[in-house]
Amino acid sequence: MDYEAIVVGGGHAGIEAALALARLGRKTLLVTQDPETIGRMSCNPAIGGLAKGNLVREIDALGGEMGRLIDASMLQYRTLNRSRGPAVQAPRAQADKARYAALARRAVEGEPRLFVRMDTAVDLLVSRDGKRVEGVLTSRGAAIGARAVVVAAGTFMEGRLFIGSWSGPGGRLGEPAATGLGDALRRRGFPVGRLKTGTPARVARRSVDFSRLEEEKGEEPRPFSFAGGRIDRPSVSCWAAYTNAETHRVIRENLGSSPLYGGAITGRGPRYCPSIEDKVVRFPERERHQVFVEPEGEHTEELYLNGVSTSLPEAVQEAFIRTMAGLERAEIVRPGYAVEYDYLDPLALRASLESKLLEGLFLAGQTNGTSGYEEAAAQGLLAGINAARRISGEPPLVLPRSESYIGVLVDDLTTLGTKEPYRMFTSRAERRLSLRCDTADRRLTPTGRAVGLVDDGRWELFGRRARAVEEVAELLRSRRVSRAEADAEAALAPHVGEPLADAIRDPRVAALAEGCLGVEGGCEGAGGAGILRFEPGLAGRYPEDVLETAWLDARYSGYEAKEARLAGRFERSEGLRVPEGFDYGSVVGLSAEGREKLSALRPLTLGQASRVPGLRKADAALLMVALLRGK
Amino acid sequence: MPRSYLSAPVPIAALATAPGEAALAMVRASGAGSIELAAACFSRPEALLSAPGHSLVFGRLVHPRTGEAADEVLASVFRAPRSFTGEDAVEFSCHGSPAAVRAVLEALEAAGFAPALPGEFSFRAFANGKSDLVRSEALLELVRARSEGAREGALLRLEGGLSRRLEAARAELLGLLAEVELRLDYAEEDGAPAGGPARPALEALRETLSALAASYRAGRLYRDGARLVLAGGANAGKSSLFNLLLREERSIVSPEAGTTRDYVEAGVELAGFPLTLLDTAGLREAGGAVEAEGVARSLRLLSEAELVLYVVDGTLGDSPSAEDEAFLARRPDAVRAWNKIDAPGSRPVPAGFVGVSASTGEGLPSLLSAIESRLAALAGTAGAALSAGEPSSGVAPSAGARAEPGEPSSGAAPPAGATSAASSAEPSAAAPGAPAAPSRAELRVASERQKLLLDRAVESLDAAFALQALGDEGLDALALELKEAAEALGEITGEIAAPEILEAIFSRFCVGK
Repeated sequence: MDYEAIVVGGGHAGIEAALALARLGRKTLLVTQDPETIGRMSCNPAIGGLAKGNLVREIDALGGEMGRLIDASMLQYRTLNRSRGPAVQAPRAQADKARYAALARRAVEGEPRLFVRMDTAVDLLVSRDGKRVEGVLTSRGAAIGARAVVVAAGTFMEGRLFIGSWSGPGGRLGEPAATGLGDALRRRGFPVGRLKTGTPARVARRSVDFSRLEEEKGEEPRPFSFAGGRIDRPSVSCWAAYTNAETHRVIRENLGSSPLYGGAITGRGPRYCPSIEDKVVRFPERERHQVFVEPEGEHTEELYLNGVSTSLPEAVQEAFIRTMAGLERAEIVRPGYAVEYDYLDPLALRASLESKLLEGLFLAGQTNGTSGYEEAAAQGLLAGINAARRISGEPPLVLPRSESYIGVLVDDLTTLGTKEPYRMFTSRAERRLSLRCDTADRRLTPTGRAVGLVDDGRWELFGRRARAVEEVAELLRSRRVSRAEADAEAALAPHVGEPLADAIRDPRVAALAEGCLGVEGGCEGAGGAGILRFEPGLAGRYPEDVLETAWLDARYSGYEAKEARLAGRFERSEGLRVPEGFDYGSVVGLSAEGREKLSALRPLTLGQASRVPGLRKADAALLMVALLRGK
Repeated sequence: MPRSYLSAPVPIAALATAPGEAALAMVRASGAGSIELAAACFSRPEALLSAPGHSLVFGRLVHPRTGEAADEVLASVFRAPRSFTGEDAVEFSCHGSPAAVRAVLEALEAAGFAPALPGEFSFRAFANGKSDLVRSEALLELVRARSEGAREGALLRLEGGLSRRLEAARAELLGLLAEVELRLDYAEEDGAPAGGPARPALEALRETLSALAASYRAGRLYRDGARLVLAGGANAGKSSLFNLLLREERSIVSPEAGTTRDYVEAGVELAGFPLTLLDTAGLREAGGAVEAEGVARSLRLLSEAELVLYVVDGTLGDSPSAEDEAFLARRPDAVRAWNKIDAPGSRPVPAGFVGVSASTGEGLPSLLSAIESRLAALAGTAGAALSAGEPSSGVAPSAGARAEPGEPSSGAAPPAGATSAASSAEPSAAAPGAPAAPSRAELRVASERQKLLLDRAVESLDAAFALQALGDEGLDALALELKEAAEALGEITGEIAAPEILEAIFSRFCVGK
């Protein structure tokens, strides 16, 4: 074996997989078509957002790289969903794309035991009995041996670009597609499908009239990484523009030349990141759609038009962009385009992201049918960890849904599969209130330490933070609401004499303390610093993140218990295993459809079975009885 | 090793009708291969084996080893999946003597049938997708129904009325939940609307659910009935009134004070409710030792009973005695009867009392009305039916002197008596506008399990209201409350069922069900 592991692709998934493998001591080769594109962001110059921000913090807690990369390259920071309750707030940051990629590349190049090769993988090397992967074959004819392979090819496998009537092979505009591997996998019997995604045009800064746009400034930045200190980065503004009736008219009139509507593209597109053509057709009653004008980097004049992803002909793109106020004279630097690519149905993967068809082969990222850098990175990290463990003979790391969004992501993918690009939402998690951003370290850092990705320094940091949080929590438990406080504030009246920890379970008290009650648009300060209303002196003694976590823990403790109870029943059924080769035909009363679906999916547990899409609840109950009887 | 519901299903058999003497009994057998097993102890095996589903075969059940005939039977054959349990099944109608039944069961056991666990047939119906939990429970209630009201309620639930109502509520909850999730998953900038689910929608849902939960009071009353205890001074005429209510001689009546020792029970039905009438010893200084014991027991009963009918001898004075008043002070909710209004020396009926004559029957309809009002109040409902214009159905005795809890009553209550209420004046005991007895046709919850789950759902909705006051701020927790309410509802029909719960439910069934 030339290497212990090979990672195909230097995108967000590939980076995490390669770094994890190398850091876990495996000699790893990263094969990429162009090392300069390592860490490149194809689309939106931003990291984080609803549910995605949670993923980034979890990646960091587990020992991954993304959190650090964005902390060192952000251009603007905002907390989303500020007004909707602390459990669903999420961090988001605009990124300097070039800087992000440079930092990613530096991390890769600087990692001992990690090597980079500029080449294209076109096929897998497989053992004679066809059961194990043994390496990759490249376009230049190199047969590179390895005990584990992680394929993270993003949108590049048999990638095809579309702009209007023009189309050609490519993974990103200006970058060649990875030809060969997708077809090879098809030939080998892998379930390969086609998906599509798109991106909007970039325009030149000096061609935009900012006086006609709404400015959105950033907030005081907070680090994504738990090891992050103060963020010392510039903070730039973004701007909001709007489409209008004229914009929609132009688009509608030209739908015929859209490759999407012309039928040239067969792949399914991302439902939650629709093109502007999709939006105009699906929501005809909307008079305007919001467009965010975002800078792509400190040292470039290109601006990203977030919200008008398209594959209409360039002339049409220019026309509809110029109908928007402030963009009347916009000059397009790069047009928007659609890319169609091969992906592998994740149903063919185990919960460890290892292929069910070929031992030692792992798949991660957009290749599995997800969309988003964060979703990709999360999978890459898990795939890297498990590839390393496959090599060392350790059992794979499987993250339960109840403990992390990464767990939800992988479980959804490997249980439900996906026919359109999968995006993470908080509603996909049963325990949204427990999976808050600020608890990612508590939930995952011990695992990261056990696996070997969390070094002593980080472990020490984690321990200190946990102890500090416990100290503040103890304070909340011992500090009681005084009569004087209750007299001053009606909401406190029923809680006189109660420990603060209990009183803030009353949402009125919590909201009041957070200064949110009755405030238009929600809270001003970072969510959760309500404790300072009662004990202002704590501000100097503990860092903000510690106060926030202790506060939110107490505030949500009742809900977390409730969530746990609701999920507990759910999780008990996770423990009920479906025996290998179970005959669904033997379950009397099972609907024909249910039998079909279950036989096709072959779930490992009752829990997985009950999540099969479209499976009737009655069928799940019958299966449960059958399984219990079989014990 | 003892079998449980969740053990692998083997053919089972059990007596399905009430034990005791009767013309006929029915022994039910079910399970894969049960027709073949039954054929092995049947006098005409080929007839049984070739019988199509839902057909009858006459023959003799024979002990497979001794060859002795157990009984002449009529076998009803059912073929999977068209049977109660969804499995192959045979139901044997045999002679109703305990000896015959025993012989039949022995023959079947020898042929290889295992004795069924309580409720095991119903469990299999559930496990084979033929019935959800609510319907299974309704079946249990139907079997145990001791009154018209209980029977009607159970039937409504059995045919799915409650299940449908719950499913509709749950679907609505999930719709509201989806709206909230939408707001949580899309930031304000993406154009997601602000604000939580419409308050009127939540309120309407809460109303529906809490009304259903509240219906348990009536449901339970219909199912379990109430005790109506007759009390009053010695010789006030309690026993005569008792017999009048019962319309047959039941307790020993004699002019000598203190004749009734202890108490006598009889089951009757009033306005669809099962009532147990209890006649107590006269409350006065105990004479003999036997009387003293009877008095003590009666006192206990009087404080515990749901309903009390206090009888005063209307010939003794213009108003109740001090002793009477003392008692009435302790049970102000008692229905008060002023008895012996037919006697020459009877005094005018005071306010708050119903005039009645136990010997002539005069005033009985008014008395029944008053009792019905108290029943309605107990049931906590102000339902519509038994509306004005409908004659009071009177009291119908249920067969069997002493109805034991848990035993199904073997006879239905005879139809309403001919008492016409049209002639009676407004009973003075019933206040105007007092709640009428609840409609028997209303959908009611009759199981504690269902009620507790409905309570949980209502609690969650109340918590959701509290959170709504916070506007968007409380949305994350609101979603959880809605989810919990939806789960509770799903648990009622068994869509979300944990094994422990299934076991707990079906073990309450009787064997053969």
